[in-house]
Amino acid sequence: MIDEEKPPLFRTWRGWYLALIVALLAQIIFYYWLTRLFV
Amino acid sequence: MNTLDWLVMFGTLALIVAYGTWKSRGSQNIEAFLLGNKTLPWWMVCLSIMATQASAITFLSTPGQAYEDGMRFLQFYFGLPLAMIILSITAVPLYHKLKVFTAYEYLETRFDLKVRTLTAFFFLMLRGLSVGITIYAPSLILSTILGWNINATTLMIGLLVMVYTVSGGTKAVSLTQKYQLTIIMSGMVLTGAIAFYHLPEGIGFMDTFRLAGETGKMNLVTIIPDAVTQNPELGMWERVKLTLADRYNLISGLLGGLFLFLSYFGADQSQVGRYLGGSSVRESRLGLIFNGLLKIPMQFVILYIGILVFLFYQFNQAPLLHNVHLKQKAEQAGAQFGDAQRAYDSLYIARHQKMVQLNEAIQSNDASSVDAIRPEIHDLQQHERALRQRVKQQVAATLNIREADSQDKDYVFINFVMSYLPHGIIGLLMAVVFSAAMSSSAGEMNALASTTTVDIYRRSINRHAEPLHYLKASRWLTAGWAVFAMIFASLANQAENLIQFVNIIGSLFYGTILGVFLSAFYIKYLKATPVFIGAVVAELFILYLYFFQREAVAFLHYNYIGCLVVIGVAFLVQMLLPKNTTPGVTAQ
Repeated sequence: MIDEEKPPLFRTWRGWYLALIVALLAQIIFYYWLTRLFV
Repeated sequence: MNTLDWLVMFGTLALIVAYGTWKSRGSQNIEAFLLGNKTLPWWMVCLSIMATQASAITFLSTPGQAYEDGMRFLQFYFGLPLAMIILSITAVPLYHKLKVFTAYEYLETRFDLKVRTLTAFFFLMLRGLSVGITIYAPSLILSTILGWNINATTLMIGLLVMVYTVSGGTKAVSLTQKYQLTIIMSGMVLTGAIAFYHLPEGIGFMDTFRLAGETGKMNLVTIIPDAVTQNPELGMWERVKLTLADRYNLISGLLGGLFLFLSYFGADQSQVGRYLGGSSVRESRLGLIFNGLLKIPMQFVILYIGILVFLFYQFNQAPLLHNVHLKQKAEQAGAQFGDAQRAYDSLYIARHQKMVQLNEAIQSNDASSVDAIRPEIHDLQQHERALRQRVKQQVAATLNIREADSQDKDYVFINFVMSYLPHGIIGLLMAVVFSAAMSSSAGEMNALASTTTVDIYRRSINRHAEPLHYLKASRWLTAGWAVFAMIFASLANQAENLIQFVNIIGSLFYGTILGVFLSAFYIKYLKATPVFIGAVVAELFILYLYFFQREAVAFLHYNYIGCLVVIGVAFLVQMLLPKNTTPGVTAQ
């Protein structure tokens, strides 16, 4: 029952921070891929 | 510029100033004037943060940076999202809980008056100098383009900002920034679209990436600088030195950028003042988080506009110097560019031919032709760069100025706007530049006034006056800083590439300021006096690096070096001093 009391991850601040880190990593990988693709 | 352009430009600016002044009229107390009564929703906090950071220099210089150096400047912003997370966890709840007006007020709660005053003083130094540059940089460029006296453009920007910041304070700043940012981004994207539209038929948007890549501009992520990869025989220490000296790469962006943005957003009142206006911890946090999500894509767009302008000039001849007025001045002073112009013309014809061939090879997926043409284009580009360099040196020598070289970058974008955009849109783009100068300098002047009122005047000079007296003092100080910025802008000499100069001024003080704040937030062990001594030593060390070791360490690294020196020296002094325990408020 403890699990049900936890709010979903994206409703918590931790979820927001995680999203921001994932977005940053995704962007760096994407830009790195672009660099390799077009150089 | 024709009548339509002037109408669009003055109409847009007048509307924004009138709107900001009208909507924020009647600020009756200092809380309303300095914090906007803490009523902003998260999206306004986010827009205000972005508009304060993005000055006119950002929009004038960044496309030129991409034009000359490719996209690698983007990496400068990679540390920003991480800084947003750290500040959302620590600074935002702490500042809200303590109900402070400025970030430095917190330092007295945690340490003592001398640390608060020293840090506020460092802030006033760095922001006071750079607010002048925030106005000076676009003034210089606009005065050249519009043919105005530089003091006229400086006065226009300064006075317009003064009208609404003095009357409406923080609320007026964020209300106007909302519209300024909208105009800025639409103007920029429109310019990029027009550059793309003027490319030869058959070049699709995806082809622009390919063309940019083949011409060496898609250097978005560089892990090791070219100087290291091209010299495999270098020793380990040489490699580290070259990587440290390289301005923009993944490591300097993530590490240097993280520390720079931690100090800029956590300890610089021009940003702290923006999110302290948020109505709750939640609104301030979301404002910062969305800034972290949007900033890198926004910079990507601005840099890519520079790439589109670059590609446009691969198929249309660019002027020998983008700062055409400076070249004319040199000609009037007796410099001759006839031979250089002829050499430049024939280089352009050769390169244009190669670019057409490259485009055809790309369109027909002919990899072997692309491989054959690429080195030829690079070769022609190098010749062209060397030729332009010689012309810049000739201009500099004729006019006896220092940095003709770096100035030219800042004119790439605006010169394109003036030469190829339709009337009406030119006026809008001029409004963009003025708006950007106004939105960032408004945030800065407001912060300078808050810090001088709250941390210096109310704390150390006149402690027991009526609230109304402090409101009046804030207004007068806002006006005072505006006048100071205008005077500084009028006196400023030409600096290195403008955007970099502003960032360098920031990095000279930010490391130290951040060191003080990190000690305050996280290191309970450290007390006031050791941190004060650490801050003084760190600042002297950074100034030593800047004045005597400039070639050895790139400025982005000052941000964490300064920070580490503050903490390191503070630890040493703390260990040597007798125990003295007065616990302050630290982050939970």
